[in-house]
Amino acid sequence: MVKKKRPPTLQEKLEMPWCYYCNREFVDLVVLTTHQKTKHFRCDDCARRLNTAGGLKVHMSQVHKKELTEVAGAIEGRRGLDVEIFGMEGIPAEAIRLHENQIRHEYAEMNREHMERTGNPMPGSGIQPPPSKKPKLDVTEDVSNMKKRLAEHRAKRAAEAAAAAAAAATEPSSGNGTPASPASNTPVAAAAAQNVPNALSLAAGLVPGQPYSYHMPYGGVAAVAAPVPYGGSPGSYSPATPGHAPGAAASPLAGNSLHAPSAHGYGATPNPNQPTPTTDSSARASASPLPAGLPNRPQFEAPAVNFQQMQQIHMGHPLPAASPAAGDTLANGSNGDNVTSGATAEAKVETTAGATEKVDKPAKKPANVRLIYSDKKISPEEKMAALPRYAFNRAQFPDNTALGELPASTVTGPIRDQDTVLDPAQ
Amino acid sequence: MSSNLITVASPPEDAISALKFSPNPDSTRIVVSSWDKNVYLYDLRDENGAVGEGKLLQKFEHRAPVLDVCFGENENEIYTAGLDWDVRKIDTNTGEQTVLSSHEAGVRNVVYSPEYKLVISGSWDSTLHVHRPEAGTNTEYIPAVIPLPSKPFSLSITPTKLVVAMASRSFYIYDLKSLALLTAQADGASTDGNKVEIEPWQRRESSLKFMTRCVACMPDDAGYACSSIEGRVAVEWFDPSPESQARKYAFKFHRQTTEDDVDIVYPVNALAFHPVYGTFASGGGDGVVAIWDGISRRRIRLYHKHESSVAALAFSGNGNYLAIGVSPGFEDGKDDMAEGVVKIYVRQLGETEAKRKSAK
Repeated sequence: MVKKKRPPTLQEKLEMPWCYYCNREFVDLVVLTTHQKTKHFRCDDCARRLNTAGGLKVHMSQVHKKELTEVAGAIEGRRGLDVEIFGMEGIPAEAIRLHENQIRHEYAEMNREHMERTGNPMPGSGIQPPPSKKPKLDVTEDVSNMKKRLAEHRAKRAAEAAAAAAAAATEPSSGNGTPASPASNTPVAAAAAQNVPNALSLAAGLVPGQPYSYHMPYGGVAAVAAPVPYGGSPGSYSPATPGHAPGAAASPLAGNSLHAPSAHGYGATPNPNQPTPTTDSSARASASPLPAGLPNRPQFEAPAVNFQQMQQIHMGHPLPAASPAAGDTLANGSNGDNVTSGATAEAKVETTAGATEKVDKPAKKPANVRLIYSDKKISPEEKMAALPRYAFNRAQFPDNTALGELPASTVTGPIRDQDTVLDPAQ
Repeated sequence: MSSNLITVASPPEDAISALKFSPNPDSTRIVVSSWDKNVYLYDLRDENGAVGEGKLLQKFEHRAPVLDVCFGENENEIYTAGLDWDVRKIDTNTGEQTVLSSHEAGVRNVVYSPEYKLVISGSWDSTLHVHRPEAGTNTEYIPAVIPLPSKPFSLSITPTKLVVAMASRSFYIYDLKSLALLTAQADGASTDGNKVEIEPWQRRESSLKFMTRCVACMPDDAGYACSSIEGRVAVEWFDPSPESQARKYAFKFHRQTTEDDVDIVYPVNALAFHPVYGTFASGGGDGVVAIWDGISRRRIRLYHKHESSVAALAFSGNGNYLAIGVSPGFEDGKDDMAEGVVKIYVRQLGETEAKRKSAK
């Protein structure tokens, strides 16, 4: 199963490169510069892509003897050539501030909406940076240290299981109270005990009043980093992978699990009966002091889909237009495109005109073509002539000549007077 | 830079079939033929000589809808072709109408060659009639009849050539000189309805895949442009050498893409070459008029969409004006013509508006 992508957090959004000319956001700088070259710095006459507006201006004046007055496809007020933009460089501070404000506004709006819908804050919103999905482990950690922690964890785990079993006994209605009896030492039961919390953890963020996240230090990374503890004790701690969560469907929250803020991590234990594992989280905190040498995860994992798509994936429907924030980006995006297409329309036709018979080839023909008039043999005028109101019956005018019927000599002359006479029937 | 658009007063009541400017360079007279059975003669200049919305000078009533009109030797002589099978000559001073000949079906086109003093008409009976008006006084005279393989849809003339665009996408190009000679010879021996079999100078198949809608010749006699119902225009050269033929091309325009990705393709109803610059204008069923440079294959101007289909286009003799006949056109799937405005616009072109841009 593919990992679900979460919407970008505010910080990530603020860090995304964006185009000064059309306010579009891009995954990275390379995409942005490519966009600018094709959309804004492209020469309409020879399709050459320049790096900057100034470069295009010089190109146009030198090669085509044309004066470039404005940047194609740019939004109102950003068409000027006075600012030299390359990627994110050269954007006036004012514009940056404006853009940031807009993003913040959008984000706040989206957050509010998300709150309204789900009662939860947006994943990753808030002051603290989003916790990364996988706990960060110091791989240089001493093995004995790890073993010690594992032992600690095991003990705690057993206590938890006991507590859960007790809770299940007293609270039969609880869906979470899976029979995680002390017999969890048997592999099957252990797996079940693991599976359920794991499955539910997807929905963890949705349980009102249970926003705490409990990061299991022995997630996927740990399994790689320190395989020894697992090998040593397969019975007590079945390495059920977080993704393997068949129990999710049974959860009443399964439907909502789509919105599960994955940022809470796989290790989150949603079981309300479980005591908050303060010791464990502190252990985690000490165990994973976020090594500075590692890459910045959130940025690295910035989703490849754009914001709107992401929103759509999460909500199941596009952002309502009423949301000014999201609507704004949307409008900007499409606007930019419209403007661009408008501006390049001429160039397009010109190139079409420039192309020879190649145009006739169905290479890029749109699938649906509707001809206003499509007859192969009969011209529109003939069809019009067949209409009753234009009907003309030659036989009504017997005194007129028709070649082949009457002697040629009567073609001119005698009929002259008749011609201006209107037929009353007409 | 934008040109001045004049709306001509008192337009026809029904769809416009043809519109021509006087060939006289300084004249601002326009003749318009209409489906309302009239031919209208306008002058853009008022009594003081100022060009304005113009006035209707005369109206010539016909028995049936008039499909084409052209000026003759001078401004006072016009020829009309109509659905009543007749080709007429009208003296605009006296209003006198003379039937030159009668076809056996509606007459779609009529053109006049001032060089050879020929009136050539094309009819849906698949013939061309070649008339020599100066011989018209002679009662013995009957026009030469040239049979065609299919119905002619459009005629265009240059000082030396006649291009006939026909159904089934065929083109015949006649040399006017031989046409004049042969038809003159045929005058003497008027047998068999004066049928004259003349080999065209060139036979061609349209480079467009759909029905030809209009053909217009370049003023420099080098080639012609033709348009089809499928929103395309082709530019071709007369010169049969491979080099010249390699220059021919086609492009598409006059189409709109709707939101659900359907391309609506309009017929290109009208083409007209600028008499001075050699650029040409195209007018489509979408109501759009554009001016193109056929040599450098560029669009020079694109004008605003008109209310309804562009039925006819004509440049004035000096190239300062572009007359646009706007009227609803016949569309697929409709029993009758769409309702719509009928208007004649005249665009006062700026100094360089239709001029070819310098080579790049």
